[in-house]
Amino acid sequence: MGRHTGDEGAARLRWQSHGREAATGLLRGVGDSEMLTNDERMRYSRQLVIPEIGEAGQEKLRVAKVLVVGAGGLGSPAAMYLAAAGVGTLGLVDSDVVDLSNLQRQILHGVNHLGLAKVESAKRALARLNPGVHVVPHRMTVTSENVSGLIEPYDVVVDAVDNLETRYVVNDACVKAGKPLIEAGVLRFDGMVLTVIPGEGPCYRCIFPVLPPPGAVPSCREAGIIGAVPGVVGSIEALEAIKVILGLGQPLVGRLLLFDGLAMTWREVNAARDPNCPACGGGRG
Amino acid sequence: MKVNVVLFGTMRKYAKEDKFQMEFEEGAKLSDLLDRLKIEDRVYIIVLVNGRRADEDTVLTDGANVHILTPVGGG
Repeated sequence: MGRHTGDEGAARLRWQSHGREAATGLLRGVGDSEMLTNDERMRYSRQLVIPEIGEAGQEKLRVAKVLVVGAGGLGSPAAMYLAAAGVGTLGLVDSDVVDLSNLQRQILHGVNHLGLAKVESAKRALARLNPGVHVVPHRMTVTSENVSGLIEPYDVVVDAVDNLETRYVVNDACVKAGKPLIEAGVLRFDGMVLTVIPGEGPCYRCIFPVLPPPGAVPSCREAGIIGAVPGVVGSIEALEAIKVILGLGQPLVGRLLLFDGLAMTWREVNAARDPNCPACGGGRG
Repeated sequence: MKVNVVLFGTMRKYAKEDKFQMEFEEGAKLSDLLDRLKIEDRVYIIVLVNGRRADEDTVLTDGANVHILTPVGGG
């Protein structure tokens, strides 16, 4: 697209959260608005007609920068729907290469990309989907040392990692930086999603305070995963990110969403901040 | 008194259903509920009682909603 109009000092975006006005102080509003091209009007026509989006919303998406941490089962649908929706800048983080065992669920990748770095494979797939999106590959392992610099340029972070340790690292960094975080995990037929708006609701550590040691909680490699589950849950992550960018609806702030794909049920647990949370302090300031 | 219990993810193995009611005497604690479900490994499970993380000494109240889960780490 090559015409990102984001003004780093632009007006802050506000949205309704649980019936009250909330501000992240992080999301840019529409800066010097540009008209959409005819191609863009056609590409985004089905969302431009939604009253809550329209051209102003499309412009917010275009100037938004979203970081998707993990280009696997959750990251595939999340990144694809964010790119398809016209999120202007999409960062992707992953250190792995595409393996045959990934293809059952990681729909960004195909057999022609076996052995290729996942972030490069994803970049090529997303370019085919929407060449107007600026995809920034970060081939790296996220650590407590590099995470702050990694998330700094982005407005919203989507956690799509395949391990618990990185979840805590990303959560803690987002809380510290005040970045909205869309957090999700999957296993077998189950998924859970939580949107973390620092200062507005509980963070991941408020609910799961302690990182279990390796082996205490099963991974997808050990316990398995059916691909459609991260498909469903990663799509919700994308939708939550879009809502946060646009300031629409009620994000899953303080609401842990539990998906049971076998029973095909959704349960919502209202979760409170932990006043003793070591990451966010639970509102103590 | 009755409490509403939901088991999620790998915790479902402790009951036939994943959502059910349990009846206790007044003053019962969360540890009584976990004992009755025969949940012995309690170090890394998370129990939310009415949305708040609870420990084993938490006193249950009539109508309380108890969610028992573990973190889900896959992606």
